[in-house]
Amino acid sequence: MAIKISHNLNIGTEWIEEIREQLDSTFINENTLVISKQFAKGYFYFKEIIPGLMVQIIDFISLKEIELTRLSSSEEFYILFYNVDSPVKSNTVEVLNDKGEIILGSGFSVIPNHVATKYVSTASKRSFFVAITISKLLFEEYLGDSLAKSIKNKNFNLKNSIYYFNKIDSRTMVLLLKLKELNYDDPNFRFSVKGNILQILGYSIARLKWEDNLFSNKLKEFEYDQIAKSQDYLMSHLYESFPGIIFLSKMAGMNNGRYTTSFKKIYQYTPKQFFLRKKLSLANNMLQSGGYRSIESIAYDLGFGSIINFSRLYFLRYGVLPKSHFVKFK
Amino acid sequence: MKKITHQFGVELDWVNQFSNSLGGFQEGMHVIGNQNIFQGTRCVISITPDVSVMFTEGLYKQDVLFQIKNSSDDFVWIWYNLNDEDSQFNAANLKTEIGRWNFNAIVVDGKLNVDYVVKENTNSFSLIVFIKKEMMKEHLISKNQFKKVFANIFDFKKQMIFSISRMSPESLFLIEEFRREIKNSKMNIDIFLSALTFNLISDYLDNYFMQQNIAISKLKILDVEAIIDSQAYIIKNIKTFPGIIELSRRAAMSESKYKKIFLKVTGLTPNLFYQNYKLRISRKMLESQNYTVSEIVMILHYPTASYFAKQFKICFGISPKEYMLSMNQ
Repeated sequence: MAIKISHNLNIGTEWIEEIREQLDSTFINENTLVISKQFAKGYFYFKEIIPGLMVQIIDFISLKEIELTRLSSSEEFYILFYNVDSPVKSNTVEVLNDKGEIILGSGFSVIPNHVATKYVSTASKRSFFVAITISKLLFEEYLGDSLAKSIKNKNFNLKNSIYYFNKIDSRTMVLLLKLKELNYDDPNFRFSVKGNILQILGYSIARLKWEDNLFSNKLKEFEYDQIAKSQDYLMSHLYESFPGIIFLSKMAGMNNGRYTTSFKKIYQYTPKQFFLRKKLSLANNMLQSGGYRSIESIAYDLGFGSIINFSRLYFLRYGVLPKSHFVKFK
Repeated sequence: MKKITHQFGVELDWVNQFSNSLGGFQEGMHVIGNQNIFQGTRCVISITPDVSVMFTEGLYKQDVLFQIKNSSDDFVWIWYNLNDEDSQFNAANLKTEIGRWNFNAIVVDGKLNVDYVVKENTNSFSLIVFIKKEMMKEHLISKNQFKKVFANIFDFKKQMIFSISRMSPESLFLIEEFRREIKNSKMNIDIFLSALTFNLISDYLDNYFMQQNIAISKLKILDVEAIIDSQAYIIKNIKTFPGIIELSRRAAMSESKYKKIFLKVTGLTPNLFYQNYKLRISRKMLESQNYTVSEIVMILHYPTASYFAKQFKICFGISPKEYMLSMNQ
């Protein structure tokens, strides 16, 4: 049974009290919260870097699964989330679950304040992640002109906020690994944290600006809607085989090439890759649901031609064979 | 020769007057000076109430004499100077040359009057970090084991903080990385400058006690120069390590003396310095995306690819292949 923690977050320190109560932790200094041994071995570190910019570093090994849910809030800010440790090597692009929360996977994500997020730790494995909360004002100031353009064109945002999911780039990764090795007891820690976090922020901002460049080939608004419609279709036909680009582009009223590139701009994958990923994450849910007698039946339900092909694709996506995630129906 | 008299301080109220005496004005964080004196970028930012930084990159068009007379003495300034030409530096009774290949890290107490001359045609790249003494004191005292000793030693009213040395390899690498990054117009200079400042302070305080012990003034200038020469020689021959015998012979010292002084000046053994430098070069090559891992192994004369990968992973925590694959852009 997982331990469920839910908390608010803002650019301040009031929220940390909620975590302290629920995880029965103690402050060892004004910036560090050590988690009670009955839940996990590790700490929460939080610090203001400059006004409008906070960092949280969470580093622990939990005894049981811990489910951290951040509730949505009305204070306007963004969260830049970096997760190094995850068995899944591929990047995030995570689904909203039925409660409208984003499940945080590995990689780098940018999430606006009004969307709740959930992080689930694996028992007896080290969880290490860094979250930078930055006020909307400051974030937009750093992004400068490139933001104004992309908001207008609805490119990498939905409902006028920025969402972004991708792998962690290598320079950021080196800094994160450096942070991971540091000892939070060292008085120098606070300077190293400030320096490294600002540098990470700098890389991320540059990356988002660069992303805007990639998106300079503008999408028209109705095209955006058309593609969203075809994506809806894909999502509701996950049990069938891939309908084909010709069918989809016809549905969106574009030619094949234009459709594929536009789709990729919005969802970061080609339609086929996207479809397969969603299919496999559905397979993942089905495997763990305990409602099936065999892996074969899942593979056939999802329209895979053979179990061998299914296992191969599943392995490529999750790094393990389906049988290690499989819970048998009793 | 142009003469400029000005002040420094953590609070940036001096910037306006400084800009005026450079024949220009202040615009946001930038100091826009007269182009006939200095051509390039000069900016000053306040990062926290305790820390500020000034960054200068550009070309001096004439000889300039800077005279610093501060009105407040509650701070120290740390000067990282990577100018390609040496400048004459005078403080109290001390006269010395400073520059990239000379002494390049200078820590000065706010209450000390200083003057220095930057020569015409100097390509300047320098950073000056201003730190409140109170914060430094608090921080150094918080290193528990020294608490008792320091409560007495840190009487900044009586004591003067002053040191002239070479910056640590780590600081140099940080600054060089910064220098590369700001060439990309998508990088926000203020974020990276703040990041660099904190990283430099962290490194400075890390080495604070060591630096006090190896105050370079105790070494002979001649020896220090020989070591600096020898560092340049190692960098030039980065493909293979010349060996201690060869290096010490070039520096005209005995092997043991050479090793000892090298460690004092750079904080690293010759071999470690060589290894580190080579790995940073390999990283730069990977970032350029013009080379494959096996090409780098060949060009830099690593014995095997797996040895290189292992070393790289120890240094940066990630293998070269992964590094290359997850390169952004």
